[in-house]
Amino acid sequence: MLKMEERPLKESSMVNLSTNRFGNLIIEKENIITFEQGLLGFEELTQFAIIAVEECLPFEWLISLEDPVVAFPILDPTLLFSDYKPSLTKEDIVLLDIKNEMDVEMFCIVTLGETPKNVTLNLKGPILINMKNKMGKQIVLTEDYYSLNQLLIQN
Amino acid sequence: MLILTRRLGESITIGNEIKVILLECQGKQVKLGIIAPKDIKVHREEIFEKIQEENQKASTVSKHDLIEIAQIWRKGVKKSTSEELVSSKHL
Repeated sequence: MLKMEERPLKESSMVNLSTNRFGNLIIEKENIITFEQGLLGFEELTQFAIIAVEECLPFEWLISLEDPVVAFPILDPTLLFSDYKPSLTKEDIVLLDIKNEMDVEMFCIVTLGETPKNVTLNLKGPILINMKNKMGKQIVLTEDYYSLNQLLIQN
Repeated sequence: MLILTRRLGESITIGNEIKVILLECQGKQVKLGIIAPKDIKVHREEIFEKIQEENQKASTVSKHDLIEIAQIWRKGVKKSTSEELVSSKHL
């Protein structure tokens, strides 16, 4: 009897996603990240998941569950700038219900130029995720020295 | 939209904590001073448009291209600090 009950429970904790770029994905519901305000230019998409493809590491993908054609390559910016730590505003803290700043993970979106060598990182509009409640937001920094198109590969 | 006419040096207040002062007028350019609490972010509108464009471009990056970038990355990318970033911007 127990087993009968366990099965549907397990199935309902997963979401199947068929994508062009990554084939079929199985995403655990607890890993779904909610962006209440969407991302800039993608305000209508609010459900995302981070997926890691081995050959792409350390880059990962932030994929939309509502429109899996939309997937952003992302990178932990501290891999490039060890002390990248923009300050959070009260608004961000309230919106993402941040209790402890240690729960927040930050990612930057990667954009390609004409060639893969012209790849840039958007340090100006990082993505914040509160890992405790899986709430995310793309913020816009006021610091002038963070560039929108930071070259990733210098030579 | 509320439209107000202001002279040089005059200001408007928004709520209790935000003040916008007209500092300078030169032809089609206007210089504004903004006094606001630290946690209120003030941006030029274009920055949002630019980030939207970047997001748009990023959303269609192919897996193949990212694999290529990851390979270049693994060959060695130099880590910097924001301080170096600031100083390189000033050069």
